[in-house]
Amino acid sequence: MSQDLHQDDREFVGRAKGVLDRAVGEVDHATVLRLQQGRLAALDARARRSSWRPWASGLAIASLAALAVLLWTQPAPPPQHAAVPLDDFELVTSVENVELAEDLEFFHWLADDDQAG
Amino acid sequence: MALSRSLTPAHSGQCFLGGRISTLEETRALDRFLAGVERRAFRMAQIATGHDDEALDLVQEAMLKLVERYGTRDEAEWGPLFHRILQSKIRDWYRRTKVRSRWRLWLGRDEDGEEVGDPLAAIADTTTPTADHQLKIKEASSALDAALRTLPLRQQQAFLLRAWEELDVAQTAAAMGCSEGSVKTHYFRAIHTLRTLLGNHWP
Repeated sequence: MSQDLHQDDREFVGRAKGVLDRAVGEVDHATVLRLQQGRLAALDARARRSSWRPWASGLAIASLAALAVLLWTQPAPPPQHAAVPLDDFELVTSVENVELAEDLEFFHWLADDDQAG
Repeated sequence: MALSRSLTPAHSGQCFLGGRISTLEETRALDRFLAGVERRAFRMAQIATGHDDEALDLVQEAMLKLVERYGTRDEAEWGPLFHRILQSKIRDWYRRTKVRSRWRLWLGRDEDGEEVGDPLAAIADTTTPTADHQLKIKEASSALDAALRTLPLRQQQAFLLRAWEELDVAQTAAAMGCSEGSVKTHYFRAIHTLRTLLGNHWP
């Protein structure tokens, strides 16, 4: 199958192109207006994005800088700070303490005794 | 652009001002480009879909995507990129419509009186005659539209991009997302089918 266009084909393509070009001029006014609106909406979206983008990137950089300063200047946490919750956890979960926790009357008595003296 | 270039670094705020002018120039260039292609794009989408509203939606989506994703690219690239986006949107629309048509058929809703169906079957003239002296042009155009709508989508795309938009084979292949060999085959078949359908005395 030869895919080179013959003279007849080229002439046909030329005629078709002419008809298509002329038909573009026949697009009705309402459609032209809607196309213009679509174009302006696309460009407006770009303009809005480009107007907030410098502010957004500036804000992001400022936030990162503030975070970096905060982390840099914050004193290191005391070493036992992380151990305290673990101790508490062990107290709560050990077998003896679970048994003790079941004896609510004992805890009430202990609290009353502390308040009394 | 010329103004932004003429500003010297000594001017206070020149970077921001230059950026704004550059953006404004880009926006104007995009506006010019889109204004130049929008009607032809609409006609392509209209021929493919057979519906004015669908065609307008597809063109607007293509414009939005071009501006959003490729607005900063070199101006010479916009044409092929725009057609690539538009043809991709048309293909997606076509697939969605086919699936919808199958479901309608399966659900037995063909007799609902709705006219939405296979877009290739929608050969009816969608243009409304306005002036008598342009009747011949309209008839020629309607006949071509109808003939184009009988073509498989790939042949229709190849014909419109090659013959009307005058994209070269490589650009057409990029726009259609297929090989250059496929473009040649689709284009060749499209021309011969159209010539058969329209006859020797058209237009």
